[in-house]
Amino acid sequence: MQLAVLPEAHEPLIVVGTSVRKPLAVLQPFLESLTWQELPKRCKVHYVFVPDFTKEQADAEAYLRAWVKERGGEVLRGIPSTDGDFSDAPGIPTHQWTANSMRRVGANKNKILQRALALKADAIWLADADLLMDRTTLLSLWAVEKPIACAVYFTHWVRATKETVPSHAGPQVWLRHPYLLDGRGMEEWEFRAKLVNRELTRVWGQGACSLIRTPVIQAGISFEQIPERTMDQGLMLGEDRQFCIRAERAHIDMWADPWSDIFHIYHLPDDLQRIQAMTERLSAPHQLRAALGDLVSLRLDALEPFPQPNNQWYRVPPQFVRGRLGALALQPELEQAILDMDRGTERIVPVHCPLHYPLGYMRGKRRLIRVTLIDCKKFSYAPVIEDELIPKGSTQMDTATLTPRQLAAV
Amino acid sequence: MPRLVTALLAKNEGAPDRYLKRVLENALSFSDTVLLLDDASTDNTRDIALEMGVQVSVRPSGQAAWGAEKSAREELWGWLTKEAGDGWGLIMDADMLLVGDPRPYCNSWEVSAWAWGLWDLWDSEQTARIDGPWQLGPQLPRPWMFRMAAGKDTKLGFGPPDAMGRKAWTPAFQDRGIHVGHMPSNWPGPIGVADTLAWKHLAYLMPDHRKAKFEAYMRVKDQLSPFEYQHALSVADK
Repeated sequence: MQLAVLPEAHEPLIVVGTSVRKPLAVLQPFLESLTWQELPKRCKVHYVFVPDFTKEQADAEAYLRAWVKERGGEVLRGIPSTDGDFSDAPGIPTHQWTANSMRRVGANKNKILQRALALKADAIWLADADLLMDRTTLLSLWAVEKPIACAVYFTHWVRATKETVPSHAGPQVWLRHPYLLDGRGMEEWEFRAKLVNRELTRVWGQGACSLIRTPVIQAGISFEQIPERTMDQGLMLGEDRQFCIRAERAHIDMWADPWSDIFHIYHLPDDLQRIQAMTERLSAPHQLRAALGDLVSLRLDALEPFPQPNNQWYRVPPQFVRGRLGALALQPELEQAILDMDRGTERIVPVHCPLHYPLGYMRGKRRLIRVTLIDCKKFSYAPVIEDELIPKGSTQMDTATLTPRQLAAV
Repeated sequence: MPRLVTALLAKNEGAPDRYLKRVLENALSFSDTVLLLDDASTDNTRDIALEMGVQVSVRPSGQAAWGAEKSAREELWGWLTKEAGDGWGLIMDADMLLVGDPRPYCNSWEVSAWAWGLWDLWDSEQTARIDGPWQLGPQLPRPWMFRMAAGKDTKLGFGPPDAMGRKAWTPAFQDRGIHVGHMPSNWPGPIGVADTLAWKHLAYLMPDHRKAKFEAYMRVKDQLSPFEYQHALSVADK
């Protein structure tokens, strides 16, 4: 005999964890951003960390252990750390990892996955310890209901060392390995535009802030090194590459969810100066209702099936729509309903299709759409990329790609 | 909002360990009218329903529906069609609680019926049985709510023609003693799935009720299909 807990009574468990090797100044704000996360309905979280600290980071390790003691969760024993196989020193343009350190981090993350399976968790949220995350990050990742959903942030991966060499911020999700932002039928600008406009987008490379549903792990996907020559060298070595290739080969889709604002504390000590302002911005509660011009994150379900040419009925999968209310291509009934809704609620709205509706079958018809207002907030671009999109007085503008006419206007 | 009328067939559901009061309260919370067709109960089923403002009709004691259900189902359907008019009708049992609000679904112009899943509660109101034949309840949504007038003028390509030679729809229930089905087996038109609705089926919640149900099934086992017989046998599982 098999009994199941009813969906309305089920309390999903999300294991939140990471392999940690960050100084206290970075770790502290990260942990703080975990505490201010709004949990999805009925969900519980359990923290699991694997320490990978250096000898100099003893204060950070002590802080982590004290934090876990206070908040609940556990600190697992990791693979012994090796000093000097990772560097984020200010003197070098980007972070440098050795093959050993990447394998060690992969093994540590695998420990978290195994622990989550043992705890019978519903999902695992692996978030790197140098992220400062908006309070609805977990909420949004959970709401999109994808096997693997990765929150997106923009970073200047390479430190701008010379004024003549511009450094553009890039996301940590990719269409092709390693680190390529084009392909799969998209130009780089198209992909970037989708991310900047916070659209849920399928990706083939991701990591650092991913919500992984347990069935993915049960299907055998892990950070384990793939025993192939091409996967054992160069930029494919990273543990996230191994995970993504494994998922892709198992036909498990990965999605970038750029809804949440995330600040990556990457270049030390420069980025530390922005922590206070970012903490204030990202910890602030989102408003209860959306106004025109605000950013909204919606889930739309067409409740009635659509006729198919083969005399069958087709159920449209849920659509996740993000953008500024008033500028989204929504029917007026939907827009009005969203204006009247509280964040986190849903409503079934009859929507009329006008006689000039593009889809012939729908002309003059009415359909029931269930709209869920997952989240809403004031309009902004994501941190770091906004500095490039909205030039401010202090921001250097890269004029190399501007036409003479644009340059004159500047 | 279109009118929503709920109808149920009940027999001897008034005992304190049964669920009639809760079920009717639940039905009244989303219905304009609730109809109860009483299958010659010998307890206070009628009184409870009348007290709660439910419309009651009583079948004669000589026509008990258990083991001869078809005529009762036809009578209930006919009554529901008349009461619902151009609105919607919802068919349920006296041991089912609806989770979710069905009223927004009544705005549909596109489908003429809505289907949803059913959880057979077992031992507690938070757990349901899902092994073997029990998995079909939640996995295979069945239609429960109908736009009653939808079939009225439907011309079908099958079935006997009327006096003018038109093939019009008439509800047809399976000619069986039990498990006739809550709806006509020939319902025309598209059926949608209302995935925010679900039944909590209380019939198998308590061990005593399971024992009684098992014995009742065994009395009519000749009328059960092989699948239904397996299901009936598994009611006795500990």
